[in-house]
Amino acid sequence: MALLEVENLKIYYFTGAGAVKAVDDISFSVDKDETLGLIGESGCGKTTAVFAIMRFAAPPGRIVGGKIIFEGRDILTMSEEEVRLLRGQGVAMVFQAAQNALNPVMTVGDQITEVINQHEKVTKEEAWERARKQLELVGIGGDRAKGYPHEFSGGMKQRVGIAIATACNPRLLILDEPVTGLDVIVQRQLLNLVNDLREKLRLPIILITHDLSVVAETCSKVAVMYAGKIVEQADAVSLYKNPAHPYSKLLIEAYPSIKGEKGKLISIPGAPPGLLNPPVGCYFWPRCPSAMDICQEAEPPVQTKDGRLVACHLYR
Amino acid sequence: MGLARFAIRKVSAAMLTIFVIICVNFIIFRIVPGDPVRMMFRDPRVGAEKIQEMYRKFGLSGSLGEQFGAYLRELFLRGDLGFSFARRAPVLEVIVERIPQTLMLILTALIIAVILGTMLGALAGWRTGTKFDSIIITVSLAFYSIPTFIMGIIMLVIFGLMLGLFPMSGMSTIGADLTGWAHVKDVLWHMFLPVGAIVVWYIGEYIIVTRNSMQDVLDQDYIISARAKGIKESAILRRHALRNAILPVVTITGVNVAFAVGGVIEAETVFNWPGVGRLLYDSVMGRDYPVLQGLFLIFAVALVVANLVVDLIYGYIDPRIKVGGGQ
Amino acid sequence: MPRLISVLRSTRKSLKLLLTHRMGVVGVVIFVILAIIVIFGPLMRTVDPIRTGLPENILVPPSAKFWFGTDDLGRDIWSQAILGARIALLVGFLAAIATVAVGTLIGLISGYFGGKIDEVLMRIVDFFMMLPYLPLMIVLAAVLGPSIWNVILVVSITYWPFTARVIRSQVLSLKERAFVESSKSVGASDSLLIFGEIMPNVVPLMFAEAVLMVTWAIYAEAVLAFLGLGDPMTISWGMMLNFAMGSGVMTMAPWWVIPPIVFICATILAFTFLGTAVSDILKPGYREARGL
Repeated sequence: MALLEVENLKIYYFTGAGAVKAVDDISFSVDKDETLGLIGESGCGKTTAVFAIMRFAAPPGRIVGGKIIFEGRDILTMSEEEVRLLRGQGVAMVFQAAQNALNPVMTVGDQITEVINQHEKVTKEEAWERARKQLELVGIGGDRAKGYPHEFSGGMKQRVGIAIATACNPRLLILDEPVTGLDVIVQRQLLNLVNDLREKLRLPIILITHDLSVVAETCSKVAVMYAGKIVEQADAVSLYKNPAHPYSKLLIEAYPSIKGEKGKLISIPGAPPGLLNPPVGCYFWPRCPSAMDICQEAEPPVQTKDGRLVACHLYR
Repeated sequence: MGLARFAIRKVSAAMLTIFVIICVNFIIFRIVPGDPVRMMFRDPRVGAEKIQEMYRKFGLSGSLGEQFGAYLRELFLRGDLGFSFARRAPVLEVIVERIPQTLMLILTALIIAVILGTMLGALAGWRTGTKFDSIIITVSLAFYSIPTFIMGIIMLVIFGLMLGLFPMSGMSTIGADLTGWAHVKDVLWHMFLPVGAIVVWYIGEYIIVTRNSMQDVLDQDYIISARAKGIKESAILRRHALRNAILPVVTITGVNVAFAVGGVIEAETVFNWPGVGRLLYDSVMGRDYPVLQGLFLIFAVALVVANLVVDLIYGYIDPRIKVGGGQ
Repeated sequence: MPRLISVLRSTRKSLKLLLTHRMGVVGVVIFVILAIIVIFGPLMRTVDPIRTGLPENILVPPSAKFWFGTDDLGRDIWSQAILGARIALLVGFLAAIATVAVGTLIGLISGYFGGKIDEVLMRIVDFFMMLPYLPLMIVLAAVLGPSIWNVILVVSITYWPFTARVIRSQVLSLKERAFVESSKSVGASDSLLIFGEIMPNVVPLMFAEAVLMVTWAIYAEAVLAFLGLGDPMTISWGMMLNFAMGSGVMTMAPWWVIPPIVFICATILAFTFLGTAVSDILKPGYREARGL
């Protein structure tokens, strides 16, 4: 039984113009020793899907179907209170680097002790000590605990976010675009930190990003999302060496490699479909170089090929 | 130290503004057509020796520059704001005697409006879209659209006339000669309607501003961050939402003092409350220009000082200014 | 001619958009009523509101002859209210136009040129914003004398800085946009840029500000008139309240104060609603959220 099993998750946005199928029937799982990378273009639904694990659905979005089974229990059927207790302690999230995920009028130390005090019975001194230790853990000196968020750089704010998220020893950690918007050197430092923590704390991680290199650095398993659907799931090595789905192939080929041979830079022409009235058949066929007649008519079912999952008519 | 530098900057700006106000005050009353100071000399209430004295004092025989110098000299060296002929007393004395009554109204009204207004506005913002919220915004918009003097007249007619619950004029019952606690109760009873008239508009404004501020805050990422930590909703409201939402409220309080001044002038006029607002009205009606000039100066300076105080308070409560030096 | 047609068409489009907003509807309805009153006022069974009436007609409650009753000088209150609308709206619109014109000009210049010009202008603006508006209006009106033009002038002097700041903000953000850079690179002159490129983008905001200014101007005229500083040659709603309070018999004749109060509040409310509707509509995403 995997730590997290997402089955047939559907999340729709109900706007004045109709229902937008932001996440349309996706399934994946994460085991105790895995790191799952969820990759895709902006707007493909990866963030929406993962937010649902914490049962966050910003209106007008609503989770309309599926199951999210964490440690054997379906999160979608829990009570509000049970979900709240799970957050920060069972599952924890670190938000996108560029956003202001830290309260500007609270000290960094207070924001860490806040989550500790919420879930555990400790004295003020114990909580503060632990907050300082968390800051040391992520590479920031413990004496900076009395500082305010605006005194920290982007990369350091991300570290603080990680310090907060790991404060109560969660069983699953979610990182939403952890290095987007940071310069490459800071990116490297942060990814090293993530890998370190993963080993030290034996922490399963779900990592959302649009950046292939980030996934390559940190993830054992990758799921590729397109227009609200998962088109391919495989272990990281197989995906990079041998992408099966045409979209995955294009993604990997579109990414320039500094070390590799100098080839042509390919970009994927066209744009993702509007999800208000999605096209019939495979969502990707308008941009797919291997499109066949059947692709316009029927949605490709998910099938297993060489130990991975692909949704493509090429592999019938 | 961020706060000290900030404070020094603000205080010096305030002092400069006050000086400019003094100059402007001078200009308004001298350069404008129908020079009121000269008109003052045609006032039959003024005795002959007084005219001579004034001529000397204001240096009216000299150039405009000399007059300005004389004005400044009188103001700074002797704290002399002029002399009111209608009341036969120095302007400063006339004004200062009435300031406490006005402060009674303004401070009471502001405190009530700020506390109730921010509470209701925060709750309405927290529960945007609910019935509670709709009622609150409709009522606040209605209150915000009614000028204070009109609200005063409405209250006067309804509560004073029709229901006879409150007195309709003045600060205390004439001829009653009450002392001690009875006197205090009498004054409070008289205060009720004028304070109410002022409060109504302010509450409307504070509710709307706090609500908007709360809505902006709720859109911020640190709110969902807090939820992701499993923090209770009530704690999120208190620690994360409110603390950030009140920052703009403090800022508008500075601007609001100007509106408070307007409101108290209107309320005092409607309810014949013996404060500086009513004095302004009486002086306009009575063409008492020296008092008018003194009042304008006092109001303007009071506003600068109030804004300064609010700026300093804001500097203290916003850590981005208090600690300074972001990256 | 084709220009006129396109202007009319976009007006119709804007009007329809306005009517999708709940507050917009209320605002438009009240505005139409006021427009009817202003245009057809003299035809609506009114008499000269200033001329004192016959002694037996003093303080008559509403009746068939005097729809709103009479005041303490026997004057018909219905006439005063209907014809007073003209003063209120005249002052309201003219003051709004003057304020927005001056404020926009200063905002455009300050925002576009930046640097020293901006600093100096903004210092002046900040200074004006610091002055207590009601004492300022009262003192200026008292010193300048009672006339409708002085009222308009005084109101504009008090409120132009707020508009200037708002417009300047938008100019600053527009300046960053690419079209300014590209026009400059083609050698466009400053005035061409300001009035040709930037100003058209600022017009919606100007309109929103103008609506806001009308509410202030209506209030300002009413309060000045109430305090006895209005034009004695006319009767406005504020003056009606001034007469009522000064007569000493206000509490005996509630019909005297109810019409001006209702009219003032309704007008302010209407323009406040219109202002809110306009600013909501201008916010990006308004049309999408309603499936337009």
